[in-house]
Amino acid sequence: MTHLPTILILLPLLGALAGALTYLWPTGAKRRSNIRTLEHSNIRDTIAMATTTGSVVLAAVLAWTVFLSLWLGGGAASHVDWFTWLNAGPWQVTFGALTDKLSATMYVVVATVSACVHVYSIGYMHEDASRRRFFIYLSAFTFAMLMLVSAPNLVQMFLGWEGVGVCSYLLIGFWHHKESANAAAMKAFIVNRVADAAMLVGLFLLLQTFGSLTYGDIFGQLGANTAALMNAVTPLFGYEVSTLSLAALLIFVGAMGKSAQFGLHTWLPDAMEGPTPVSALIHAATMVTAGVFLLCRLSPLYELTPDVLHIVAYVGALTAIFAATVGLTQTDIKRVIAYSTCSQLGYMFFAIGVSAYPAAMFHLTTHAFFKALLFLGAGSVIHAMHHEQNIFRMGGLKTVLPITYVCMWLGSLALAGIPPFAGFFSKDLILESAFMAPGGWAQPVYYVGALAAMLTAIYGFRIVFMAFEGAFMGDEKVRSHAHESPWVILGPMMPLAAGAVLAGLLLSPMGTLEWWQGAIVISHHHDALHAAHHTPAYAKYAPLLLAICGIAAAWYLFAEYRNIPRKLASVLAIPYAISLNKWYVDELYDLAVVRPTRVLAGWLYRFVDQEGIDGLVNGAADATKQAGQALRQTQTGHVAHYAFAMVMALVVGLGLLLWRVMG
Amino acid sequence: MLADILFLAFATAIILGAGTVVLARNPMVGVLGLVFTFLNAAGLFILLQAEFLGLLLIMVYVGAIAVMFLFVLMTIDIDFVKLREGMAAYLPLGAVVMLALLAELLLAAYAAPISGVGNPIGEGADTSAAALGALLFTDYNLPFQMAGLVLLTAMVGAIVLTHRRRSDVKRQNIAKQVLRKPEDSMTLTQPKVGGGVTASHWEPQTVEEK
Amino acid sequence: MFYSITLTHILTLSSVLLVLGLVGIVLNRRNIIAILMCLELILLSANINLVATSHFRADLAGHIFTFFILTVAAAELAIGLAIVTLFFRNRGDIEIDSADRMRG
Repeated sequence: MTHLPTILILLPLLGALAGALTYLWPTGAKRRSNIRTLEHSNIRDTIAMATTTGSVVLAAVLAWTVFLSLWLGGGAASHVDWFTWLNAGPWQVTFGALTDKLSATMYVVVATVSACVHVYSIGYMHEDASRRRFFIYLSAFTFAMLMLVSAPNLVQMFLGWEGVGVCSYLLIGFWHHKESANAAAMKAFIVNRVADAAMLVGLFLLLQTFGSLTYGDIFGQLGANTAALMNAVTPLFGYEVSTLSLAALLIFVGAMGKSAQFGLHTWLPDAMEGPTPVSALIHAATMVTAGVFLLCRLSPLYELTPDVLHIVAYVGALTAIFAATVGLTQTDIKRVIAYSTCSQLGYMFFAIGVSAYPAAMFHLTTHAFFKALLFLGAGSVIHAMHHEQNIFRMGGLKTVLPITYVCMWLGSLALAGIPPFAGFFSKDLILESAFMAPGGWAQPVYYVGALAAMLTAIYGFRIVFMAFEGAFMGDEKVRSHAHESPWVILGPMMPLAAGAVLAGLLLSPMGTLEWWQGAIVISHHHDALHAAHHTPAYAKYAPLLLAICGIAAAWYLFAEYRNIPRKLASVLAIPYAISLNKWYVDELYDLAVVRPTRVLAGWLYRFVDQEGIDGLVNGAADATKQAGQALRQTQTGHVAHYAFAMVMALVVGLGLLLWRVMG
Repeated sequence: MLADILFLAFATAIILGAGTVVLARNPMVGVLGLVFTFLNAAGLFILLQAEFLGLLLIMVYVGAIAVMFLFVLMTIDIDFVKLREGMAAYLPLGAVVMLALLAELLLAAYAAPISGVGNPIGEGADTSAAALGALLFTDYNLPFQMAGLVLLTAMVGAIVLTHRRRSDVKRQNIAKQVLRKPEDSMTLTQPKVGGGVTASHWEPQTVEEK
Repeated sequence: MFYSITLTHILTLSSVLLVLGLVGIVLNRRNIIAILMCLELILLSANINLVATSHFRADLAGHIFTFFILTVAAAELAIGLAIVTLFFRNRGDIEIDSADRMRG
């Protein structure tokens, strides 16, 4: 039992390695496959898919076992040490698996969604020649993510953190023949690098302050000498800054990058260049929530830095409203869902900002289910429409794709926060916590969140209505070929649909601090979560009312009277342009960072590299050449000259010797 | 006393011989001067109790090297007198440098700390070929082997440099002869009966076509 | 053994021989065979030095070195004369100044 977490973490790695071993199989020997499960399959692909998918499904089963035994079986949090990686005097890094409610929840989320996505990919990727590689990357990602959440120290966490970054890069650029995919992969990597740089500095600061990066040590010291640590300061640009606040802020910047918060969000919409299952697994359900998880894991630290928590709340609220407004006008079905992910992550962060970590984790879990469901549904639509992603070329698909239609409805209802679907419980808890935050400082955040909830309902159902209702707007030929996806695609959506419907009800204990059994710590000074029970009724039901209004508006605008939005766009030209162009953040970055960097790089290339460094190297070569040219004149080719030189050397040398010996 | 006289005699002879080598108009005379020099040097070596080396000098220089010089001189048909033209052109500069060198060397020989250190080999000292061999084959074994390799290299090098294949001489290629097959040189024909064998009729045929 | 002859006298002899060899090279600077002969004189002067020092210091190492010098001199001469032969065969003369194709 104690080794169950270890096994479940290592299973995806073993699956990926076993899949990778098939590359050693000589390609020349084309054997007839006896296992005819899929068309186009050859035995190597089948083996790779079987090992990766099988291992992840098994891992999912184990994850549920661990989770349920912790929750219902009354098991205690366990900690297994694997090996000591670094042993540098007083500082040790020991790899292992820390399994408490927090990581067990993440096991369930990661392994379940990953298992569904693996099975789904068997159907979705069956035409792709290099799908073996795809499955290996997916499993490797799952392993890295499990490493991240199970880590008992920040070093192992960072290893997983970078591991998921690499896998994300590989999977976004999976179709590497597409230039846009390559660009998107690099953008994701570089933006995350900016954030990770900040995070590394934060980790170094923690290491300097606590002398250890193990959670247990850090939290122990935080509890033991709170006052001294809170008064610790670090000099920064001539000012003295609270060390804990600075470290917490820097780690939050790292989390912002991974979780696509406003400012560092630009990579997430572009990451939709990757295959849809990747978007569902990495860019909706798991990797992007790593930042939320990390902040929850470090809750004892953040509880001591209320100023940083305020920043977290404001950034989260800004992201929530920003992404919601942008989501309203995007035409690419996946991009809309990507902005919705961004927005929901914003909710999670402002939940953290008001110290409602359980609410954030609760929303993380429910969101994983319904967002993965939405992405897989979108993938099903895209698959049926032969890679058409523009919702303005769809319409009326409900007769063609009835099962997908139902799934999208369920996912969107959960997203909009309509009871009794999953999103209602978690989002409601977040908004109530914001409203009831001690001192009322977070009430603006509440209003922003409520507004974003309405926008969420509008853009969520905009997709559903544009794609499935009304008249078809695309190419007739595509429509005649459109067909409901096979069950290998629809099947994995069923557990997720069940999760989208039931997760909120069944997992509602997650929303209380007691349920986490100490994995999350909340200072009693700002116990918004507890106060949320006493939310006034108007604040409690306003978001729900707004969401229902949003759905109704979406129906009115996008199913019944589809020409109204166009008129609205022309009347509200400036807001429409801002939304359509994603608040011009990409353009701003292009102007402020990319272009100056290009100019600087061009200048450096031209003047420093070409003229300076190359000049130095060429100059050295030229000088050698000139010296050789001059010296070769001394080689006359006449033996007599050489002999004379030798004799002169003898005379002079002997003279010097004599002078030194005798003089 | 006798040794002193002998040394002076040998030294004088060596200088004279060397002078002959340097000044000889005819290189033949030069070679003979060289032989004379080395013979006297061998005498000097024996006087200095280096009997083996003295004999070696006679064998190597007089027996081999001088002969080789003569051999080369005789195969080369050249006007040596013409080569001496303009001989004195560099003499002034050469003379200055040479005198300076001689002065330095003599200074070193007379005034430097090395002179005056005397610990001559006694009468009964063993400087025989046996003693030399005992040293050569033990302490200096590796250099000795290297010297053998140097000689081998020189021998091979000299042969490679001077050997040439003459095109006007017929040679026997045994390998070619052994590898010859009937079909390379034989043609089977079937002349018409009564037609006789004529040149127009004759066609080379290979055995494979049969 | 020697009554009044010391190492210095023998060193004088070898110095004179060395300078004579060098003068020979200067005088016969166009005749490669004469130059080779003068080289032998120079090597002989070195040998005389070694043997004499060896005698006066009762150390056989000088003999050993003389031995090696003889070896190298023989090898040098074999190659040198082979080159002279080849040179003559190719150029029709043995004038050393005409061998200047290796100039820079």
